Amino acid sequence: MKNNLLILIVIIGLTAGCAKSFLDKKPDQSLVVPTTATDLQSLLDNLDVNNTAPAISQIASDEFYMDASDLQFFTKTEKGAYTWQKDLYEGGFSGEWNGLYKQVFYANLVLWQSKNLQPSPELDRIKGSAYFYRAWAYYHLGQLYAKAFDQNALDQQTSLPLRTSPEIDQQPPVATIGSLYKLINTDLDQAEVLLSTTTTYKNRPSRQSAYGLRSRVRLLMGDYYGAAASCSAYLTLNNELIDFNTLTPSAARPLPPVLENKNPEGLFYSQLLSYSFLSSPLLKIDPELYQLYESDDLRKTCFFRDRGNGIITYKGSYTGTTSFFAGIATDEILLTRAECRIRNNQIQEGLADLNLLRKNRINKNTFVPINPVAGEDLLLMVLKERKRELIARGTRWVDLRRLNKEPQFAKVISRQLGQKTYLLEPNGAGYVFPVPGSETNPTVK
Amino acid sequence: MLKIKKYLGFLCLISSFSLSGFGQDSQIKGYIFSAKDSLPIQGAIIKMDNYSSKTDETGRFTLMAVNGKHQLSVHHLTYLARQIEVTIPLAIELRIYLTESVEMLKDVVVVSTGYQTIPKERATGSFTQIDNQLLNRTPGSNVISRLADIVPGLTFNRNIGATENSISIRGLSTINSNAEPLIVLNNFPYSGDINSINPNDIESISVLKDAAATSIWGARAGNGVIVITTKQGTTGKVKISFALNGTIGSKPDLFARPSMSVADYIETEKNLFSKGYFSGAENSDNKPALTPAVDLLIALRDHTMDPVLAETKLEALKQIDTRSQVTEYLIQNSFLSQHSLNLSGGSAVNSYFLGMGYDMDRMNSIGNSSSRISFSASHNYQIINNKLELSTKLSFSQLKTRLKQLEQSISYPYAQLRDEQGSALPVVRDYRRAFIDQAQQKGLLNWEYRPLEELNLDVGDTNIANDSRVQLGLTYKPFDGFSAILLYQTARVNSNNQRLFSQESYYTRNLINYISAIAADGSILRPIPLGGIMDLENRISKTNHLRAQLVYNKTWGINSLNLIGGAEISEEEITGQTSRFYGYDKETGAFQVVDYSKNYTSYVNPSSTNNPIRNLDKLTGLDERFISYYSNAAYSLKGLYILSASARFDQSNLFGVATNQKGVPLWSTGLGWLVSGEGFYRSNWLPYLKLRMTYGLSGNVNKSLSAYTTARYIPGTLSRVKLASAQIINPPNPNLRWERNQIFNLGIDFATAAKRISGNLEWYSKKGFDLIGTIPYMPSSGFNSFTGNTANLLTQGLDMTINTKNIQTALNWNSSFIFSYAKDKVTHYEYFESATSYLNTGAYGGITPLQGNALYGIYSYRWAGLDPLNGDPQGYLNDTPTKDYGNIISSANPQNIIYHGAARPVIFGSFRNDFSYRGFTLSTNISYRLGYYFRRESIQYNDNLGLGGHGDYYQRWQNTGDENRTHIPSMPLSPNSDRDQFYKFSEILVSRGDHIRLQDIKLSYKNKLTNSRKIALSNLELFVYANNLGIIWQANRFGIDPDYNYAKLPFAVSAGLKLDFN
Repeated sequence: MKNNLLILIVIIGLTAGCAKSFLDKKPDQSLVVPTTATDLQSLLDNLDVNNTAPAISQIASDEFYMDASDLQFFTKTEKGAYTWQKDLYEGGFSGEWNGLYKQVFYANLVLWQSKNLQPSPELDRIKGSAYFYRAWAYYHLGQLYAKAFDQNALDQQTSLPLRTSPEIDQQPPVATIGSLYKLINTDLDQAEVLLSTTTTYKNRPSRQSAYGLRSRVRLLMGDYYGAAASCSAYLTLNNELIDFNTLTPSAARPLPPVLENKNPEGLFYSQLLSYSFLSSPLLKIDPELYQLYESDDLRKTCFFRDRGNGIITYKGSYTGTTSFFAGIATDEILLTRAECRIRNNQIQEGLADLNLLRKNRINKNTFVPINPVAGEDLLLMVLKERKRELIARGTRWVDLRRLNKEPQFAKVISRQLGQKTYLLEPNGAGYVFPVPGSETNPTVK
Repeated sequence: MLKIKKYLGFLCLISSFSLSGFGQDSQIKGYIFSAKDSLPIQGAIIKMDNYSSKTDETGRFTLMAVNGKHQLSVHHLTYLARQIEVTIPLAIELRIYLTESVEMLKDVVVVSTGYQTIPKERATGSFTQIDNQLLNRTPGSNVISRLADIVPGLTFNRNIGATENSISIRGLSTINSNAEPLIVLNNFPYSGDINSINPNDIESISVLKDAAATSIWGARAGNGVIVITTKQGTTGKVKISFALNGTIGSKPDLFARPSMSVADYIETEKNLFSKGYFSGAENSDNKPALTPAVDLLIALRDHTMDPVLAETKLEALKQIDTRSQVTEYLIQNSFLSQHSLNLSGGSAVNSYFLGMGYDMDRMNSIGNSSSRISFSASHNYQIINNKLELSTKLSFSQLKTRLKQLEQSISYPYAQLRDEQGSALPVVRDYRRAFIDQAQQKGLLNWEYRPLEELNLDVGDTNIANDSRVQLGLTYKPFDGFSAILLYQTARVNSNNQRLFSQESYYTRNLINYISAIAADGSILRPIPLGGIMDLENRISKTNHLRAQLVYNKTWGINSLNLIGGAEISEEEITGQTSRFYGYDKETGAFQVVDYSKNYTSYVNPSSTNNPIRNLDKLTGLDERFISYYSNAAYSLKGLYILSASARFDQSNLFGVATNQKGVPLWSTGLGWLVSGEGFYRSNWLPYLKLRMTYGLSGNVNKSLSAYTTARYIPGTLSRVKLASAQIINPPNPNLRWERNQIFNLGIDFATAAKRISGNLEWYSKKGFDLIGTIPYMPSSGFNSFTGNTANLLTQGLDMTINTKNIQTALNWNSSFIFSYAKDKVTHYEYFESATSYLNTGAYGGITPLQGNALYGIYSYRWAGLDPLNGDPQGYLNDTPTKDYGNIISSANPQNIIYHGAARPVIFGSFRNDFSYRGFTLSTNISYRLGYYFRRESIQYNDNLGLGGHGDYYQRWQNTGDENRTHIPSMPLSPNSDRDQFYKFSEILVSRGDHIRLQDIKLSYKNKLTNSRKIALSNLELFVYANNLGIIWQANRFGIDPDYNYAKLPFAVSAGLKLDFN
């Protein structure tokens, strides 16, 4: 009996002793608690999360139109965004809100976990990326769910929770316009310092893409000198453009894809969230916009497909797929600098930027540099070029919001659906998307 | 509790009443003995006139008596009653011998928990024991399927979305975690394929249902436990048993589901064609397939074919029916044959059992088959004066399955598979006829799909699963009542799946062609090389269990104690690998390398440029570990009162939880009272009555959650940049706990004299709490829902078994009636989803729990009949009939849609009758499932006028007045998906699923032979068995089998033979 008790004690002792290490084994090889630099990098390499941008703003913009008879086939969100409705989320969910805040969570988690890691150049890159993605997400959240930036209304409350830590049970402060843009700018400060100048993988941000994002932020804040400086910092690192004369406009997808490193202009890859509305062959380009392309403009054939009967649809994008490209590319930066330089009265420099882009876009046999005559509105000219070049990139929405502040550029957008006309006035309520019900009242649908 | 006391008091009153007699003259004394071995019988009830008495442990009784002649009767539960005439006064003491009733000659029923065996009499918990004979009543090759309709509380889930052989014991215990019961094979959890077990090797099965029965299994027992014990050797002469049986199943009836006729299908295509319905597909860059009729219509329109010829061809197509073609060429009668050979024997110190089996199953689809070879051996040795026992169990089985499944790939109803000369014809599949012809002319591979040709090719899956197990047991009994047991089992299951598509197969040709390109010189560039495609999937599961257990049994005086305690450590490690080989050559095993990093342009649609070659390489590694401590104690007083208690503590490597939080203590306690053993109990019509009550906790593990933020790696092959990436799958949840089930069980076991009527009745209440559930969460957190211990579920029910011996003469008639009631209700769940999710519950495998309702519920939109003007379906909006379908759907919410009830039977059971005469036995089983609902299929017009839709098409509303005879909506003037959606989920299409089914009939003949030769035939059994005989009664008036819908169960007949040699 004694012996047996002893055996039992030994067995229990043994199992208890080795229990800790025995039970520390991971139950699934593919699961991790993200702690190492590799884990964090892998989280950032999740393209579905980090390399997307909002698309309802693209639907709500003025670049494309949809006939009333075709519109009925689309979802409530698509229909609602197209006509700037307040009630547009199916089941109270917004893909944009969820997706952008998911980017925020990933970035916050990476920054949180990297506190426990030894400093290394690799870790700097990871942290820099996380700051970039967080700035990216808040930049886009600001364009959808807050009023357009106004230097005189920095204390104005937005509806955006300003989350800077991955603790999901914390109740974060709500951003004001000022605190939102302050966070974006300080994150970009960090990103510019920590990121390496270039990257081999176009889904990963580089210092150059941080300059690019910064130029967008400064442009919408009306900081034209700052924006031009960011653009110059970007362009000093790389200013290569694609010469459209080398493309095959008749090809199904003439534009080279960014992600596969075939597109020297695309520096940071992102794509608009998928909506069947945007990839539909029923989505036609706004005739007014199409008129802006001159006959020798190679973009006219590289971007568009003529389906006959006057129906022009968009075919090309730097994604190489039916998705719209929403990343950062050199053409946009060049145009931003051109605009800023002209606004800053550096006419010749601005003109040089504009002509450099146009040289790569217009048929080389007929290309003539722009040489303005007195009284010609150069700013209008560069803005028109911006419309031509940056179609279907998700940037138009931000431009509309910022240009509406300048009466000469303000635009009323209208949709004619059957008998009904919908209007979006400059600075109208439709420029701020409602916060989804899933956020304000998660239990009731 | 108070009620029970009152009841007991009442019982005492009745029994003491008989004690108060009058006119007592004398006293008689006597003993009752067993006729077989002259041992005293305790508990026999002696009655004479108004007096009664009961024998003590020496068999002795005394009884008051009045002088004169009297009839004295003796009753006992397990002995045949006797009546004798006595004349009082008696000079001597009476000695009465009783004969055991036949049924009772069998051993005492013993239930196995997987840790110990307990005599049923001593159990407090809820066990159902299925013996070998009942298990072998049905001849199926799957052990679990043999449990259908013989275990109270156990039901097979056949609602929409339920997987095959999915079972529930006493309803549901969990919402989002694994809901299948734990299967234990020879002491240890079994995680292999249940089809690997040969039912002929099984001795018995115990089903453990309440906390007292299951809590010994701890954290994995929340859904009940099925304990399977294989046959053991018996000491004595060698016994050989051989069994053979065959089952033929009819071809599935493809016409069982009514559908639009072929002629109408083609007419509808014509109609659609005239409206331009196919022009999108016709002009699409993807060149999608068009049916032969549409191709003819195009030819007719474009004048590329003689109109008379085209019309003739169209008419000819109407004469073909894919279903007849498939029935004739692609499906067959199924045939299952089973062979088994068992050998057992032994001496005083050792015993052995050997079992061998071979099963061959030819399935309904031609080319699909499976076979199983099984071998098992068990051996027991007694060493050192019976103080040490060594037992070994070895088993091996190989399950081989071949699958082709061609008939599912034909999408239109008039495909002809063979021409008159007998050669295989092509069937339109992915791309247009003209396009594939053109492609072939340009040098691409033939792009036709000929199903009958595929039959003869190397196409499909070959799966070989090898399951081997070794178990070693050492039992040391140093002195009486004490034993120490050491058990070790190692098992390895290796499942290897080869999916081969030879180069000739459509699959391979299609894949190669899809990204082929034509070079400038006209040569064909093929990124996927010529040759076959071979997918290999290999999965190895290694399990190791080690258990050390001490057992102590002691009886002193009127006390008896039974104690076990032990510790267990177990690990299950699974490694898996999947890979694909292109350009595979079966002869040499050679294959070719492809470039996975490139994107190729589709030959079909040149604007589709992002087509990488599919890479299936994948590695998996899973490792589940448990350390457990357990104990079970039973104390019995006088054999009348039983107190049991059990406790278990489990720890596992549940992901990311700190070790001290991983464990969960689970326990149970039980009380048993053998009322009929009490001195005051004198009922001779109910000589056996036992009350039981248990309460305790069992658990359930959910491996998909973690207390820490967890991420899953996604292999780089799936990424456009070819970088491995990670995805957060779980937000941090430091409060995560294991799911627990609180079970209360009350039971009554009873038997009348000689067990003419016996059975038991149990009531239970199962409260699942801390269940894993999902609650909505503000999406700005990065998550739009939070999954944690947030849900509660309550299941209450009743299990009843009544066995009766109706006639006991040369003709015996026995019945067994099983009744189960199990009703589950979600008592706490905070998540509300869209009405559509509730309407679709189960349809896509998912559950959408709604607080207050059954977990699997049937919901619908309110129905307001057809519009008499045009046959439009009508619903309600704010109690007003309406046809605003869009609004009905968008304003539907969990509160305003109709909840009919459960989608799984609330009441179920069976009624079995066995008639035997001499060696013949006729047995029938009738099963019933009641108290649930199902949704009927009907016509959906979609955007194609209901093309190929349900046969309700013919009953549709066509003229005013039709609304009085039909509920099937008219064809809409223009496509209206909301109208279809409303009708599909409307109240009118919900029916009660209640039905009674004649499940099977078995006729068997058994002849015991006596023979003096050394080894000779001692027993001969023959049987014929018919299964799936049909529905006797059903609540729905549409003739639809609610459990199988239109997939009518194929009728099956079996015949078999069993020979025993001694």
